[in-house]
Amino acid sequence: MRRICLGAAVLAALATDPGPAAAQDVRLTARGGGLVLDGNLLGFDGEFYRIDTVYGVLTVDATGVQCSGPACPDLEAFVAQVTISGATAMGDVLMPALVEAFAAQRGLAASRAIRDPLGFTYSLAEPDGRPLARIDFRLTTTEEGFADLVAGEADLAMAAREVTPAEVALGREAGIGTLSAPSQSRVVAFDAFVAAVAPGNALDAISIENLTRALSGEIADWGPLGGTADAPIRLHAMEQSLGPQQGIETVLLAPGGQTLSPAARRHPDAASVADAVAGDPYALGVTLASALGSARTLALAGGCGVALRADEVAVRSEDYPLVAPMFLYAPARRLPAVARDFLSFLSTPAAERVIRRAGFTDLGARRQPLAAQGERLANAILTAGSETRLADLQAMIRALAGAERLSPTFRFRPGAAGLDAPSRGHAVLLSEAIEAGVHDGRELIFAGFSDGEGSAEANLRIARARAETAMSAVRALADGADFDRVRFTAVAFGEALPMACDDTEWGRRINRRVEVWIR
Amino acid sequence: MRTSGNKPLSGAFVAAFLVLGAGTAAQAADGTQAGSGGAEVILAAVGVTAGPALPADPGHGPLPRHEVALAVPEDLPSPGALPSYGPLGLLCAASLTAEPAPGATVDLTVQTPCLAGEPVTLRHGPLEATYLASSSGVVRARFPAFDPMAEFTAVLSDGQTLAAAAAVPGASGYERMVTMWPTGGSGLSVHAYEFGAGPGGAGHVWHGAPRQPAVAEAGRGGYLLELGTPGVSEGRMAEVYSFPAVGSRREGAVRLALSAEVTPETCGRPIEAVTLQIGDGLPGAPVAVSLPVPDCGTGQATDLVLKNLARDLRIGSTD
Repeated sequence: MRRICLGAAVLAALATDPGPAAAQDVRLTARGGGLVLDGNLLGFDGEFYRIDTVYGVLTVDATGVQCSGPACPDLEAFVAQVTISGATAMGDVLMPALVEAFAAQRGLAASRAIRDPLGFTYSLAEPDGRPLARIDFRLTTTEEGFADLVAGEADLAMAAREVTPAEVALGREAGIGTLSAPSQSRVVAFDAFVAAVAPGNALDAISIENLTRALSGEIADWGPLGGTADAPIRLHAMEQSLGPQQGIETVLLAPGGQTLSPAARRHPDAASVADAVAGDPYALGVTLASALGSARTLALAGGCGVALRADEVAVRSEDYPLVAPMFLYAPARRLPAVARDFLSFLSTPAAERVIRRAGFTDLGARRQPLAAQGERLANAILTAGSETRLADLQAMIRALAGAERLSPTFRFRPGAAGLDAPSRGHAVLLSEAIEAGVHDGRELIFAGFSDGEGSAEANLRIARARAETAMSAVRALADGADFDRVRFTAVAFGEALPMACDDTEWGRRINRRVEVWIR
Repeated sequence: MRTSGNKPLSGAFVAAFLVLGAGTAAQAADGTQAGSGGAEVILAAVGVTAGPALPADPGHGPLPRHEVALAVPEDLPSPGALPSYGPLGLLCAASLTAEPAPGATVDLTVQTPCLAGEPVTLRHGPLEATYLASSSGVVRARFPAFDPMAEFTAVLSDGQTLAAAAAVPGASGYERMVTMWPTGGSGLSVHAYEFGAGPGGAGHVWHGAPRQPAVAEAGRGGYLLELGTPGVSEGRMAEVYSFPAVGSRREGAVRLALSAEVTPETCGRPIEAVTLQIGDGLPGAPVAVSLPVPDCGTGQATDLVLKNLARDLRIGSTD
């Protein structure tokens, strides 16, 4: 695969040079002559040597040099080694399915050697049987994945949550860069926490407040939830040690200082919770959408009557409040070519299909015409009042007439002007699409919205600032794009079109957004 | 996490037995080029040309069958006439027929009067299983059809390859889970838990409760086919679970798990198998899977259950 040319000039140079010093195990000689580096080989990724020399640690392109000495790797027999460690929620089904699809697309044969329930290795081989890569999986937790990354024991970390500032600091100390930087992280797929009931349960929606009270045991029967009075709620949950369960409690119970009812029956994974719930009309559990099985989800209702269901569009746009993005984090060093190829594969349509098949929501943009926004518009009319006037709504409809909403939706860190982690990913994907000419001849409208707290005038101003922030983030990333072909517009409608009710913090968070419309 | 067993199974990495280096190993072992190099990649669909190229065994030499055949002429006055007739006076000409059957299956019949009691390998795309011809040289097997125009081949022990096809219009409306393993080794059994069924429940489909393909025809659930004759040397066994994703009368999910029985015969020997999931318009690619089995005498008689080797099926109702 890799060419090794033994040019006459190189041979001559080798013949006249003195041998490497005893402590130096490789010598790299430039193919054109001139440069000779002696040192200890630290690593080889199939393309680059990392060598410790008197000048410090150098990374040298293998195509440009000839390696001699006892530690020189066999270029032909090089097998890339990639270790992926972290959240079981990602490593269980999603990532293996993606590795297998990647192999199939490249015409590589994949084999999986299982070590134990939480560890396995994929070997990818060329059709002629020549091994190309070994991809080692360690299924633990998000926290362990970051620890492995920091310790240099993993090349990619699977994370079911964003990296914490403490983990970023540890990473910086270890010299693996800034894990929170967009270049080192990406969202692979979305999962969501869902309230699950049996198909035979008549309830259709539950408010987050009532869900919280049911989980804590404060509400113990279905009556107050709109179901059969005096029928006990049988609660199901995952083991406390599992990341998703901690995630659920952090989002739903911790804010009110509550804990899960001790009456809840614990299960070893999200699928078991869903299966237990599916078989009992009086059961209630919060589980992962990817593991829903035959259970049914409840829409999450707010006090103002808006209900959000965890369907594909709502999860993808993160309009649904309990979305759980699945991240991959990489260290700030060059990964083997096969790992980089795999990462590029993740944003292809082939990967999106695999992600959907695995039960997750992919990052592919969905389009929704204005006509599909009927419920939102109806709600906007209902909630319009003293501050949002009919004229504001009419102006909004005119501004968006004939346009379609793209699913990527920008949201902001609490109390900050910066985009949150998934939104930075949206900006990258959108800018790539623009550079590729996908939106040529179209107008991209960045529409800013706010929550309803404070004066309408101030909200309009904040919404406009956010729309411009999102627009300039995309514009800056799409530096290879031809801006004569794509028109960018930033508009703001303030609190005019709420997605959720403003009576809770999560509702307000969902309402503070910049939508992207295309016309 | 989703695999049973009280403690993590330790054990060395077990080399994948299928694709990695199988071709080169075969050539090195018998020192000839007779096996037609590429044919050892056992998942190649059709066109295996010679007996020694029988799958999944990198090291064997020519089959004994050939030696016996060479010995025959000395004892018989007219050897030239013999190959034409079998023991029952039937013509030796072998045949393969494929008849569409319920639930997107195909009934295959191999007639090979002169190779009675010999192994016959049936193939359909990546799927293959080995049977033993009856005393009259007949093999009957029901195979799933993966494509609307489903092609099948039979490879006989003398190297002959027979082909047949059947039109199965409903074939692409099915989700499939395939496992294959070499005979003699322990296999991976498919377990489907349909619409929330628990182990042993009515919706638990496995080789202990395989169901009939007609069930799928009626949109009432899936079925399992067990393929291959146990005990054939150098053969392959397979299990295929099929679910009618198009035309299902129920909505929900089918959870899939694979299990391996740990018995005094199988303990301590690594399992080497192939898994393949087909459906949802995606062809799927076979993956060689190897896993360690607890050592004999550790008292771990429980079966190994692997929940994460197959993705769940999501079924939308057509009612």
